[in-house]
Amino acid sequence: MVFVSDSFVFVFLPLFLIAYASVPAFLRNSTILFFSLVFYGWWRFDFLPLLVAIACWSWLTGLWIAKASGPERRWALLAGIVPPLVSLICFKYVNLIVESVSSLGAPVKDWSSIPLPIGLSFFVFGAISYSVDVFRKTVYAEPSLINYSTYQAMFGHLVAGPVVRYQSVAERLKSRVFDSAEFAEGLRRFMLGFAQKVLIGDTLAPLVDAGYALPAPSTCDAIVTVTAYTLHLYFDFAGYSSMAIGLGLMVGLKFPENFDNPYLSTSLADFWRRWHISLSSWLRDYLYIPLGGNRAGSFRSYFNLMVTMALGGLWHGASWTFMIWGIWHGIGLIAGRAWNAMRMPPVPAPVGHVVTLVFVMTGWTLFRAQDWQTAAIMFSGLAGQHGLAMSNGFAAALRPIEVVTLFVGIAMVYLPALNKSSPWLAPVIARPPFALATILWLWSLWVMQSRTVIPFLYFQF
Amino acid sequence: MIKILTVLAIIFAGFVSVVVRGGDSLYEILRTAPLKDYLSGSLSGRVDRAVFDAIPRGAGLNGFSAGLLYKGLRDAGPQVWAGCNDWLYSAEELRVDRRDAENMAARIRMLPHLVQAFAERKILLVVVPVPDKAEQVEAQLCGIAADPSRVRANAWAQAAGATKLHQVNLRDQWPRPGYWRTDTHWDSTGAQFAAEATAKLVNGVLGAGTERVSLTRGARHERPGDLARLAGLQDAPKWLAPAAEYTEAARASIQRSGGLLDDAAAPSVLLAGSSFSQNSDFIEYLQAALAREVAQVSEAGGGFAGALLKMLQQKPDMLAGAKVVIWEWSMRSLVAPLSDAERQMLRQTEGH
Repeated sequence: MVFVSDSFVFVFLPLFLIAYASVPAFLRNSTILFFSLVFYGWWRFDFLPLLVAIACWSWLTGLWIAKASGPERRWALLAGIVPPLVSLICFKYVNLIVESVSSLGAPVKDWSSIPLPIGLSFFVFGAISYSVDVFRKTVYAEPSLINYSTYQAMFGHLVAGPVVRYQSVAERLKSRVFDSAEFAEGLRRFMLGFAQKVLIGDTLAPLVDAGYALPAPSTCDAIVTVTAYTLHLYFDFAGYSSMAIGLGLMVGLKFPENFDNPYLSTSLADFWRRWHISLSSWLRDYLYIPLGGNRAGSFRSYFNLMVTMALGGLWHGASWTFMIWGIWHGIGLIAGRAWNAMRMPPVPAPVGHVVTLVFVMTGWTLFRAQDWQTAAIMFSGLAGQHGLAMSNGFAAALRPIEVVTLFVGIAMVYLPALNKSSPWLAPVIARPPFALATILWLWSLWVMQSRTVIPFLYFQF
Repeated sequence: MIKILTVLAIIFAGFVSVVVRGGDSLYEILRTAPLKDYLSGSLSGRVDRAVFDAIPRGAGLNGFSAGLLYKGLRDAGPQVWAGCNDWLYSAEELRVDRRDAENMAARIRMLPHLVQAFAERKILLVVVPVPDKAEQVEAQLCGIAADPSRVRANAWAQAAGATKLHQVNLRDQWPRPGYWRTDTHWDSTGAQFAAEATAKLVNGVLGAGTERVSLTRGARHERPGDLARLAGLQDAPKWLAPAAEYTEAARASIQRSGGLLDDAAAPSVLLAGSSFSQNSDFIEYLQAALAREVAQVSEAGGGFAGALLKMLQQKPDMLAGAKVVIWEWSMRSLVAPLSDAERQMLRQTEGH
């Protein structure tokens, strides 16, 4: 099920709210869990046992890690991490491995692709972080299977994040009271996210598809397409994250913020502090630092950074293009770090912003391409190999509403920068009021009725 | 608290609407679905559709917004290109896709096999490619050119030249405009021209027809265009919508000579086309021009060879007694993704 659908807004959500409000406090987590399983099963029920198994396994090993001592703790930790990781590799990367082996001249006979359970990457990351945190003693092992499973499976973040760590919801899972102000805030965040996704993200989707389908895009075609994708990806994903955070708040659970105006960044490191924050901080804490982080000299830290970004890229999808995208960002981050290490003069903020944005957008070009050929065509377009002016085929695909949405999207990206210079506008930009959120949500509901459901981009991850 | 209740009231109003308006169909879907549909998730699509249908929509409001977009921004939705002077075009004719060349090449490879299949049955296959509206009424496109249409037409002309075809060339002498303003299909003038050109070729091979066919015209009435519908403009207020179009239906009456018991033989001419063959009374004009009865086996949405392949692969009995099959298809369908039937034919003929 997707949030942006009639089934969710007008059936699932009201039924859930009725059930949640009707049950006594000790059954609230069970209610969330039950509805989360239905939410997931809406896509495919036959993958539910996998999720349940990972949750149960992770919960059991968490208890083991907490009880064990000496070398046994490490074995318990391995037991907590390895099976979920193996399931992720099996479902997500085996197809890629088989295809790669086949393309190298050793075809695997009678191989049929394994479907990827949606949200598996988020689910497994949640399980790994829990095991590691229990091992590090930063959280207590959760004694209740229901509470732990509720954390893992809560429908708000189940299929597309943010990557929620157990410690951020542990207290609230044990006890929470209804707070109307928090519920209102959750509703406001949900409605704003809904509007972001429908009015901007989804409106730009057909333009991106048309641009990437061109056989010979001109420079103008490629720039407009990449700009549209840059906005589409942000508003789609940030919108979804906002909806997830809002749904969490409505039931008293606080999920981490996932975006902080990433396209206003003035350096690549700054970008990664603002983009998909829950993932980048997860990679930092559970991959980069365990690899050694910055502690073993600059060359080792560059290596660690590169490994983290390459694996982080591959996490986004089972395609080598994702890994190269990760490596591209790894190179950028290393270059930024080397610049600072060599005590070079600081880059002026506007220059840094432009360079960062161009770098990120170049990366998105690769990120969106399904294969090398598509990426090569788009890069050749950006390089001007098919002329500069907008091509007739692209002009035919460019709808006026998409042009308007492009400009609105760009304005939305830069509006927060006006925060300081425009005091009267600042509060509205920083925190759009409930009434505005309601109007935008109603508008997006109306727009949604005229469209077929467009699945959320991050489902594939 | 009031603001929360307002939003919840909207959500619960939608819920009540789903229960009241869609409860029965939802229950029926859930009751009759086999277990495998629950497991595989294929059920959810049907439930989503039923829920979507149960939500009340103000057609007037949707029409108003579509009209505002159309008049204000000249935006007619993702499937329709809004040209000048209320001329609408199917976006399919204007878009360019990387797979176009591949799809076109596949169909061109299919062509000799199709021709051979009919030649083996001693049936004359008459090919009637319908030119793109964008190419023939290019002046009203407003800001863009019909380049993709020309690419398709030229590629086809080259391929057709290499295969011995009985083809009707509509493109060169097309009676412009020949298309409805708000519809993707030919208008009465275009349909009549196409019918007469086709009949000229058929009669040239078979000899003139002998049946007496008279053509009568009905009363003039408004004709809503499919492109206006696709753009959501059918419910727009008149001042926001493209100007209405009118037509007079044509009707062909055939006086059969009759057999021993005044029975008539099955028509020896079959029309296996696309929605063009079902629009603007093309078949009526065709029967009149041929002086022969024509059996309609066209399929709306059949694309390049939908109706033709259906006859060949699923209903070959229909071809018994046929002397001529008129195969009409729109030039834009050359680049559409291949249908299952087309893939199957390619697999059979090319052995992969």
